[in-house]
Amino acid sequence: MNVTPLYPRGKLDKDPWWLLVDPFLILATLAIAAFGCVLVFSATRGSVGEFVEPDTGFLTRQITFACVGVVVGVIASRLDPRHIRRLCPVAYAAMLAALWIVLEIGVVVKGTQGWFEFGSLRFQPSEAGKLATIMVLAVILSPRSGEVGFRRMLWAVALAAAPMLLVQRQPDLGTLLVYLAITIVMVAVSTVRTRWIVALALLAAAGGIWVFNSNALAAYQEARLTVFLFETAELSDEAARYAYHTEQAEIAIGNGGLTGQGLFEGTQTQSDHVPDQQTDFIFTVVGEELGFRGAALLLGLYSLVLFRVWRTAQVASSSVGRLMCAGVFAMFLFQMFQAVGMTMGMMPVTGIPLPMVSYGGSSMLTSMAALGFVAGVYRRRRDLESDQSR
Amino acid sequence: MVGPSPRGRGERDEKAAEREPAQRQAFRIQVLGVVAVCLVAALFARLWYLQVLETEELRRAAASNVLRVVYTEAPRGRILDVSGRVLVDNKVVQAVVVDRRELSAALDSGQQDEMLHELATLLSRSGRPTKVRDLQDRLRSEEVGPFDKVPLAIDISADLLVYLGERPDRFPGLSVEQRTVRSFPYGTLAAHLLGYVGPLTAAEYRAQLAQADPSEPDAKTYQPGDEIGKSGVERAFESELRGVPGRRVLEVNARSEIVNELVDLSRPPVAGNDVYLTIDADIQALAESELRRGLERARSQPPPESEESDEPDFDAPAGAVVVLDPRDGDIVALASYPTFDPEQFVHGISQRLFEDLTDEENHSPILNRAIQGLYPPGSTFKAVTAYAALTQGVISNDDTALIRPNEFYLDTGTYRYPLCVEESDTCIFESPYCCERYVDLRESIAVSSDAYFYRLGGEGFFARTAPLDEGIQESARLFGLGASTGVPLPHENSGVVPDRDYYDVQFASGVFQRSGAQWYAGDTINLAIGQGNLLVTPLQVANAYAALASGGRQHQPNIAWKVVDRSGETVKEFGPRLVREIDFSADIAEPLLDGLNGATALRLPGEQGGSALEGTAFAAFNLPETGGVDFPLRDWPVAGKTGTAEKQGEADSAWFVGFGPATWPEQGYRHTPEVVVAMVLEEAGFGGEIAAPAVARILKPIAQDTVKRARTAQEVLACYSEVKALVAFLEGVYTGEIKVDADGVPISQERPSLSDACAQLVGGEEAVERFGLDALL
Repeated sequence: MNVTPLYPRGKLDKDPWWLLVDPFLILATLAIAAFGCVLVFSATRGSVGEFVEPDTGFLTRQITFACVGVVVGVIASRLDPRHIRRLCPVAYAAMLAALWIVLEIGVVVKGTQGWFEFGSLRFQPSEAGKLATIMVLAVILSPRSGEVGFRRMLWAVALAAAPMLLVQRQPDLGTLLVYLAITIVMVAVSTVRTRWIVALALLAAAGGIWVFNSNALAAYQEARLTVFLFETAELSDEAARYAYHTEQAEIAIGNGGLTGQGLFEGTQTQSDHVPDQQTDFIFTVVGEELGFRGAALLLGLYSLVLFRVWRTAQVASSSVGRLMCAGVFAMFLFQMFQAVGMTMGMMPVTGIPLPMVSYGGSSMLTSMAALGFVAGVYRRRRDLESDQSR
Repeated sequence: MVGPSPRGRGERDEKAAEREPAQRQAFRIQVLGVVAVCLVAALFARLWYLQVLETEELRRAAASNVLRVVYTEAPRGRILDVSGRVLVDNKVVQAVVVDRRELSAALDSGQQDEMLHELATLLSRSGRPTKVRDLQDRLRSEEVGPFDKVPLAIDISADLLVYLGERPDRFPGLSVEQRTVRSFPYGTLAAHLLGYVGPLTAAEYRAQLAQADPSEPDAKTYQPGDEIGKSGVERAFESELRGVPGRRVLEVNARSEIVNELVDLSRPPVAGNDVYLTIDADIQALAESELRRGLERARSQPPPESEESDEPDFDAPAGAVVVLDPRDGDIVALASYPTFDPEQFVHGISQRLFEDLTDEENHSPILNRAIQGLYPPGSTFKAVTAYAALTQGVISNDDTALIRPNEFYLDTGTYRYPLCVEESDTCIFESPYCCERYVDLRESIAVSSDAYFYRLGGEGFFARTAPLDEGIQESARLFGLGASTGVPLPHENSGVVPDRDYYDVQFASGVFQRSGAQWYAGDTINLAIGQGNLLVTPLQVANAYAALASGGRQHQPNIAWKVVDRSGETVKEFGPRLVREIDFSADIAEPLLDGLNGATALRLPGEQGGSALEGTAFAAFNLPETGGVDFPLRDWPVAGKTGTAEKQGEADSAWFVGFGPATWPEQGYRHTPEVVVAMVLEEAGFGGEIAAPAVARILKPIAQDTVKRARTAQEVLACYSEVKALVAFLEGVYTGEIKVDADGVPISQERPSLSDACAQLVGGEEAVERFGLDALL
């Protein structure tokens, strides 16, 4: 904490409302969600002709998700560190249970067994699991006194590793990497000494090499990574398909140019050349149809959100809140960089939704809840440390 | 905090220890911010690169990604004869095609052969005899692109269709497609002239790309595998016959599924234009059948009686005939023998079959001898020599002339060139044909006196000073010899009129042993009777005589009359094109025309034991008992000339060229000739005995306007079994299997009769008795 409160307060209610909310965060979030709805519509409306009405099913559902997401976010903003401390064991246990059960009864989508199906609705526990992981890491990395020691750090890593192993069993490389990014950033931002971080990094590097060389990765994961790492290597059929997807995505974005082909006018978008356009590859829609101006606007809005989350981490009044902000920051930054970078050939193809833009309820609710936490931390930035520790 | 607080430190240390982790954390958050800024900046940079710097290239990629242009071949125009009868049409057939990739994925080569064997059996059983080798050749054909389906069999029966359709597992990769192919209502009629189409070769594809008109993109452009005219009219009028291919511009998705059709950019196929020819199918059929019969007659001659035992036989393997209208140069009929069946090309001709068609051992059936065959013209050239002599002062009433037109010359069958330097064979020229007789110019043409023309060549031309000594060649060129006639058909040969320059060129390239400086008297003397190195095509001879027929006016031979589009609108009309007009004043024309008429009509009784003078074609036009015809020469005079061209080691080739109704000044007949017929029969014997009767049989129905209607292949097929039954019966009678009574009435079996339509078609039962099954041809 590097900003000393001007005056200590016990009760937030005394502050005027305009000091309690972060207008930039809220407006940018809503703008991104609205942007996302338009893009989802463009990707899913289908070929529209004289007698063919556009398909608005995806649009309607995405708007519903966004509205529910806002409510969830508001609720999340009401949780304070004490609630978090009390809630996190339950959330963590629920997450592990859900990730365990989904391996038994989950629905398989594109080779990943990661969804519960309730009628027409699907729920992806690994999305909500990110929040549980952020919460539990924030709590465990916020000792009531002193700094985070080596053993506590290992504890944190072990706790984070459990859901990762379950996600890997689905298998879902993209989500696994998000968990990894969250864990790395949160450990790094904790008060643990630098030398322990270095030790952990060396350990992780060795582990990573072992994983890639062993058969632990599924064939498709290896193919995607191979395409990315060795562009000119002789490709298997599997790998060639991912190379094709990347190429088509790049063509779509390049086709947009500075000003774009116009909304609903992107030939690549409207002719299904890019796969998974309403979800993982949705950035190609804005790239092609709205061009550099639209894509830069979207990236700008994300940057604003990221900046506000980062700023909240700086001004947080509690260690738990600060770490949660760091976790959310990591989650957003990684997902955005991965989901956008993948469409531009900067990252390997892994299925990661672009937060609040990609079609999907789980992702939308998770992102909104995460930003709700951040809003809550911001709200309590002038509070006395309500935690007993600091 | 897991570990215990460090002991033994002061309060200040404790406070520092409290502060230190917080500072560390704040610093790390700042580092995190910097990392984030870098990552976001990278995204922006990449976005800028793709959307601003690379956008042009990626936009092109996007455009080609989405749009697929699909071409549909337009129906080809038809080819019709002068009275609008369709000679080449289109028909839609079921074709068995195979996807080679699918096939080789499913079966190894041994299994493929087994499958082809089964298919060949099925096809043969369904009435289309097919060899496994042919199917194999087609399957491996390189003319079909690697992604195109290969046609294996075309026009298959409905039963076989169903059979194949029910057994996809046994015939993997096989499917049935509708294809539009060429059909030939008149069978092989005019096959050489009409030509054939075939798939575009890689070389033709490149050539047409290079020629493509940039101002009108892809109007008639070809896709690999498209049909293109390969020979004859199909090739010459390719640009008219070929339709504008239809184009569909389709938007497709990544799975090549059609998303949308860009109607603005699409267009329907436009059928090609119909080409009406100057050919008359009836006369064409007549000319073809007389050409074939002439050759058959030549083959049935007794072997040449001669002391020389190595005299070659009359193989009569090949020939050609041209029927030309001298008034405007229209070709009425043009035939070459041996011929081929254009249907073979429809079914995708195999390499082996094509080699058979081009093999010289088989006398290259694909060769159109009427415009490509080169022959010495023999005595048919004498008219040109006579014209040269008449126009260049060799024959005239002046004192300087060698001989007067009406002056008689004693033809002893041998000519000795008086200026010969030394006594040798090259100074004595023999004519094997006759005896002592007195001939003037007219008669020398009519009886084809070699000695008379030897003298014109030797004392008349060779003895003159250069360049006057090449006067015969000058006249030959005047009649269009030695140059292509300009007939709009591909691969016309231009022939050779030999002179000193030609000898120089051939000597320089090592073909000839002698150069132009060594042009001897014998060369000119031989040239005067159409021998030596003089080479002409039948069409050139016909066109040269067309000039004689039409008062010196020579046209470019024409094959096409008009081009009509599918709505019936005439797009183009081909009028006569006068090429040259040569001097044909009365004092030149009269002796020539009298002489040429004499060839068919002259017969003088012999005097005092001297031989009778008889035109070389007199028998052919007057004596049916010797194989000629009884020709109405009084109403329809024929001026003509026989020719017997010699070639070392082969029997002589027989020529006849004639036109009618001819002007015959001696008799006072004035006519405007309507047809010229030139015929050559290779290795067939004397022109007067073999070629002239055949031409007479072509001219007689034309003169009497009784040309039989050409028969379509369908009519012939319908008549086939009737004629076959009759032939079988006649054979039975001949061999004694069928008994007949004294009056020739059969006892054991009733004589089959022909239906009226059939009798009319073959020319009555007598025709069948005479020609057997050939009456159908």
